[in-house]
Amino acid sequence: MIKLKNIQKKYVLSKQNSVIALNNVSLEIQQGEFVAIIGKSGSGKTTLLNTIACLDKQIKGEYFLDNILINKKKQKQLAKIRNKYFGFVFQNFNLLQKLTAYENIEVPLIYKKVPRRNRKKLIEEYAEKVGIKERLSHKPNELSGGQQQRIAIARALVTNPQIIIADEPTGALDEATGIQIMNILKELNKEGKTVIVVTHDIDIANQARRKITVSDGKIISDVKVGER
Amino acid sequence: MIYESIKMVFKVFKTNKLRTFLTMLGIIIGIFSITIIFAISTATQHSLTSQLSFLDDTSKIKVSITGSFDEETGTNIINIPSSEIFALEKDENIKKVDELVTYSYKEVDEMRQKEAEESSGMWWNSYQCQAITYSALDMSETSQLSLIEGRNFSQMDDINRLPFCVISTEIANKMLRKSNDVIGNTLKINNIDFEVIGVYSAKDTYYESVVYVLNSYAKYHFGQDIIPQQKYYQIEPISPDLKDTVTETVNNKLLEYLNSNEFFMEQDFSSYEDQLSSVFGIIELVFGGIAGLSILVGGIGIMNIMLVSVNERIKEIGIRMALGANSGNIKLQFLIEGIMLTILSGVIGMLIAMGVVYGVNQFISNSEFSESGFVLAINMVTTAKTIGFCGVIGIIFGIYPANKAAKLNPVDALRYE
Ligand SMILES: Nc1ncnc2c1ncn2[C@@H]1O[C@H](COP(=O)(O)OP(=O)(O)OP(=O)(O)O)[C@@H](O)[C@H]1O
Ligand SMILES: [Mg+2]
Repeated sequence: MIKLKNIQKKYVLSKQNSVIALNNVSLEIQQGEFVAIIGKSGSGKTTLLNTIACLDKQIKGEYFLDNILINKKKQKQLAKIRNKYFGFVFQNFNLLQKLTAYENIEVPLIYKKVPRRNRKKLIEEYAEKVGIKERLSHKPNELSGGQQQRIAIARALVTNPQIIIADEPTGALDEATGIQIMNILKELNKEGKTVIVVTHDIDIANQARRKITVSDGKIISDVKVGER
Repeated sequence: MIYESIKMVFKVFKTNKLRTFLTMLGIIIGIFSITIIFAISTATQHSLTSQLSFLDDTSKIKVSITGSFDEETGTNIINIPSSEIFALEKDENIKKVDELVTYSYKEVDEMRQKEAEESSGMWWNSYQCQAITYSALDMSETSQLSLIEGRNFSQMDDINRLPFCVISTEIANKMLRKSNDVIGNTLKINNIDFEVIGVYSAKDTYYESVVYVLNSYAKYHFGQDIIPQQKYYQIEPISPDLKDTVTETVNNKLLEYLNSNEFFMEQDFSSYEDQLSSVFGIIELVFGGIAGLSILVGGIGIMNIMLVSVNERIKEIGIRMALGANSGNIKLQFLIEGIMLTILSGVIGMLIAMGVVYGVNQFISNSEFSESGFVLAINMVTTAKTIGFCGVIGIIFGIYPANKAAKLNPVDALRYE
């Protein structure tokens, strides 16, 4: 479903100085996979993830998502694709601070043009699923990190996307909470969602069924772990 | 989408209450000033033109004839007979001719006056005795007069040449020193008793010292003692469009008998009205321009704060883009913010102005100026236009920051801290 071919991303800082964040990366990810991307800081994990998530349009190479050639698309279509295919979970949650939990989960539905009367049911359904239904009227700054991340996951799920993109989802959480969040992600994978997680944590990476190691913008290893 | 954007804008305003208020202040003041300026200007204009229209009945042509001064008798001789001017009524374009004659009569000496006052009421020795044909004295139409007691002349009075008079409250008050009842009392003019049938009020105007009698009576009974001093005609065309043609006709008629310096055709006030409104137009333009400038400055302030707002919310923009917002959605969000800022300011400015207008009107109606007819009013059409104008200002000054926000690259926006 995801097919990267010779993807290159270069940040030109000045004439002499440029950073190659992704160097000729080719990669295929099938539907329903649970992939962990690991590597040193600055190796290009986030850049790779953002490329997969259609957040970055200035890339070289070819990227097919569901056989659609992504890097030829206009920003308007990219926005639609992101809304349809991807759910995002970030290290620092990236909730909108002015909005309540409920309104945060509502945002992708607004851009999907789901009618207002249909939203409530969906929002409550997914809030229930991640176990924060009682906190829906709270603002993010009234919630713990774990609760905030659950809201972020509910927000990622509410449009029922096929792929969950998580950039260090446990990075800002304590171990126990991190495990809970990972369990939610694993559960989602069991339900058929493709999950791609960037992480520093080897333990977390070991929970995935495929482990991709990135170094200096290159994929240096790609291991499939057998069923446990 | 628009509903959510508006909701979001209110959240933004709520988190930056003071900043939002200060940003809006410029527009609030501008709209307030414009509204007040227009209210004052239209009120002044209205009260002036309504005062003018008391004096003015623009549909009629007005001629006053003074004639030529005769050294021997010391009086004016008017060479044109009234019948000649009444003959104009036969013209197909002319509907009606009304005549008002002011008579002068020989002054009576103090002794006779005193004698008369003691014996039979009052001797009226003013020069201001105007004789009038019945039809001319439609008081409310031609002048600032309004009948407050008794009645006006009737056609029958005119036909029967009755010695009736209509007087002002001022003259009536003098008479009341002698008797309690003015109506039915008699007033002596040139040794002739006139019965008072009506009293009008004309305080502080020329008319307060005028006694009206019927022309039909005056002509036959004043005799040699009394000489027409001035004749005043109102000639009414069949339709207002014919005014110029009729003016020409009348002018030619008069020139057959008189030199042009022996009569005077009154300019009507409609030209003054035009001048007045053009003066007010200029005043409105100047002050409106200044207030408009304040709106412009306010608009720049809004643009400034919107740019700050975009910068503060780069992260938010990134998150929204990741969640599926396209640049159109982002642009709309910030445009709505700009429009809401200006329209809200406009509405607030307008409401304050309405409050002030209400207060001032209340004050005027409770004060001695209550009769001046000066009433501030806010025109709803102007209000709607002004609010619309605010919206346009919001778009003009919101579009640049909105575009700036919409152009952000989602990855860069997400990385922004
Ligand atoms: N906007 C940018 N401008 C210039 N260089 C950039 C930009 N974004 C990323 N880079 C560079 O690209 C490289 C890869 O960055 P990336 O964020 O993908 O690393 P990462 O593996 O996610 O690191 P971390 O684990 O610390 O999050 C880094 O060397 C970084 O400095
Ligand atoms: Mg990273």
